[in-house]
Amino acid sequence: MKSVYLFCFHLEESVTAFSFFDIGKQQPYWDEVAQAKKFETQYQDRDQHTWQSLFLLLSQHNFKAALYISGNYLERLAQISPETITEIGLYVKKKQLLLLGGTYHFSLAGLFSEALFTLEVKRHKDLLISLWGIKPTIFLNTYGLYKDTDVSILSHLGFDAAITAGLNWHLAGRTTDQVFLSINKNFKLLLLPHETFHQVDEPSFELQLYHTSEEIPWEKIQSAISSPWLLSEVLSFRTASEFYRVPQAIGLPYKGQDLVSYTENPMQREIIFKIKYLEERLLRSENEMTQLILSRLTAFSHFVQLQKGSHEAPYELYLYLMNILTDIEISLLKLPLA
Amino acid sequence: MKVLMLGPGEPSIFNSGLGVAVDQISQELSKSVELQIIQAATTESSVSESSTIAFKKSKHVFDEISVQQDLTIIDIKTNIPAYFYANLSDQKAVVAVDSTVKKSLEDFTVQMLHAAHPLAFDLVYAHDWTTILTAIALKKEFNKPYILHIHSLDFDRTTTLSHSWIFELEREGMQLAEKVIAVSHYHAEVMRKHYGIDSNKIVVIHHGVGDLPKVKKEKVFPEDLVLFAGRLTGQKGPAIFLEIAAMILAERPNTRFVMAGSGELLKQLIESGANSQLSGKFHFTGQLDQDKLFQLYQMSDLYCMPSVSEPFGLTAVEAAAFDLPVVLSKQSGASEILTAAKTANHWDIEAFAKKIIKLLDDPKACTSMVEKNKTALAERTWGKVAQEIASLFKVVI
Repeated sequence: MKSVYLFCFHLEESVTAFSFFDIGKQQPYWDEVAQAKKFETQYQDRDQHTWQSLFLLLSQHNFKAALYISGNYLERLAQISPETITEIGLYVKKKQLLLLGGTYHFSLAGLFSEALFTLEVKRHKDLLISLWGIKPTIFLNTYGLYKDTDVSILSHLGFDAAITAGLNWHLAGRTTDQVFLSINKNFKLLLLPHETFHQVDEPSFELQLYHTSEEIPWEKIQSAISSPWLLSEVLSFRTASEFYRVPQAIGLPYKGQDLVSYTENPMQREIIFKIKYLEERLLRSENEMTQLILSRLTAFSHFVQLQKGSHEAPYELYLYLMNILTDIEISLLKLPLA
Repeated sequence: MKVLMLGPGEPSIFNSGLGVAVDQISQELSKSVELQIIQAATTESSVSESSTIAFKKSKHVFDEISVQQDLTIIDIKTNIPAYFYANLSDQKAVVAVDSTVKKSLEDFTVQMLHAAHPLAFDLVYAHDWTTILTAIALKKEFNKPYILHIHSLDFDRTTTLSHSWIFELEREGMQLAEKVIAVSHYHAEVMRKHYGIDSNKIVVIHHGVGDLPKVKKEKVFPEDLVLFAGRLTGQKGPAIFLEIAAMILAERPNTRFVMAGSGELLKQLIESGANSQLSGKFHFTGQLDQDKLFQLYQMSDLYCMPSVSEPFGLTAVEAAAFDLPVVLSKQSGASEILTAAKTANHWDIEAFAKKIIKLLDDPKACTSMVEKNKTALAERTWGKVAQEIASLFKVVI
């Protein structure tokens, strides 16, 4: 069996404790110094080792892998380890690394806002171009989120394939070791096997996704390496003939929960409602800075932290986010409409 | 006249309006009577922390005013929250909380009595249920009369006739007192009707209002801002306010709402607010200190108090003093002073909504209400409140 490795690097976003009394006072929504320090700690404690392990495999074992690195992660990485950026570029040139498109802030915007989703993807793509001069053509959304209507947006942005979850319901007995057609024949789909997926025979190839926020079994990967494929090679070696239809959004589960459940409790719904309410006005105002702020608020980490529980944190975060959104609302009212 | 006051302690988030009122009263009373105060210390101590007694022969609270008499303050650390009532659904948890509070009250009483023994006094002046056991014990031991100043009752806090041990304690305390001070006629009626207290024993003395800081009006939102401030418990009617907000928003989108305070209903209210999809026009501030609350009065355009049972409602008076028009529950005492206030029964959401909308749309009516209420408040100072209490002391002694 051929293995196709994917690694996902992203950075959690945390807003400030933005109180009701901060509304209208031009207070910052993010503590950039604290965020930078947090990334530095994350990099030193975990990610530096991850990068070193990955580069070692690439240099010594002819390893191949695809990378999704969120935009906010790349921004910070470029600041504290420009040599890592350079090394990634070298392996991309050697065709051992493939850079995937995605959202800038590891965002859930694709679930509820076409405009912010487009903004997130475009901004991420622009960053890859500015750092390495590379236009990504394969897309990996946050935890493999995908729905049929994404195809027109992604095609328009220059993508010709996406990776999503291979779910039993949509596969209807078919296996994941093939390239599928989306609703648009020119746009292909590659599937990540879901953990509940029951493969009858050993697949001819398998996509293996590792989030660097979790423990990565480097030794296991190294012992199993036998000329892995790059995603782009899968697309050129296999012909797509069957459709994989996804009318409603799907994705890989996170911590055992269906991804869409992260947008369904009352607090998450109200945040989304407010974002969409502002988005309409924002698009008319064409204020790019505020659009970027709003898209940053769609980061997955916010919605995870809004999961209800016995602790105060989700409720406090909800209040901070609503105060921030109100502050944006008030500032928007002062802007002229385009 | 030597008066031994058994008090709830300095104002804190744990004793809410009760702490503010008693602090103001004791400051004014100390000008005319020799006041010795044994009070619950302001503490965030955990249940496991051992109780201690700290004697303070000081004037630390009164540094900025002229004190004519010596004053003794004895702080006793205690774990009894004045408002411990939680909406606990688990019966085991209810029993556990109840027994912890009972034990804490016993410990607190023992220490209060220990602190009171060496003191000479003519009269005991006690506040609310946490001091009743001590007042009764002192009456029996020293044959000294006591006056019980009731700021809130179990009836108000549980919003039902619970007949709990605290209810019974309050009834016994009021029955054995020489006089009972009620903070409103509304509350005097509760005492008569639900606790069977003799009318002749009850004296109504309304709370007052002090000098509040004057800050420039701050307009942050383009919409009108309607304020609710209070503990987020059933008694204060925060869920009613949420419903009022939803009804107003449906008719008058140019309105915003803010709920200041914390309590056991906060999470539930946040979820209900989110569920109601109030277009992000309903805000929660969490617990506020006094400065922030005053800032909020400045930011607001109207104050709403839909309490289920409110003996007085000091925040309503404060709001009026900050030039806010007020719409209050008929089941509250503050409207007896704020005679121009609009009122509605706490269950009548529609009446509240209509009155608020009408006021917001009629600035002239607002100005008229504000002026009338301010005139009424000018006569109701804490000094006057203290004078009435001191007069009652003389009647009893």
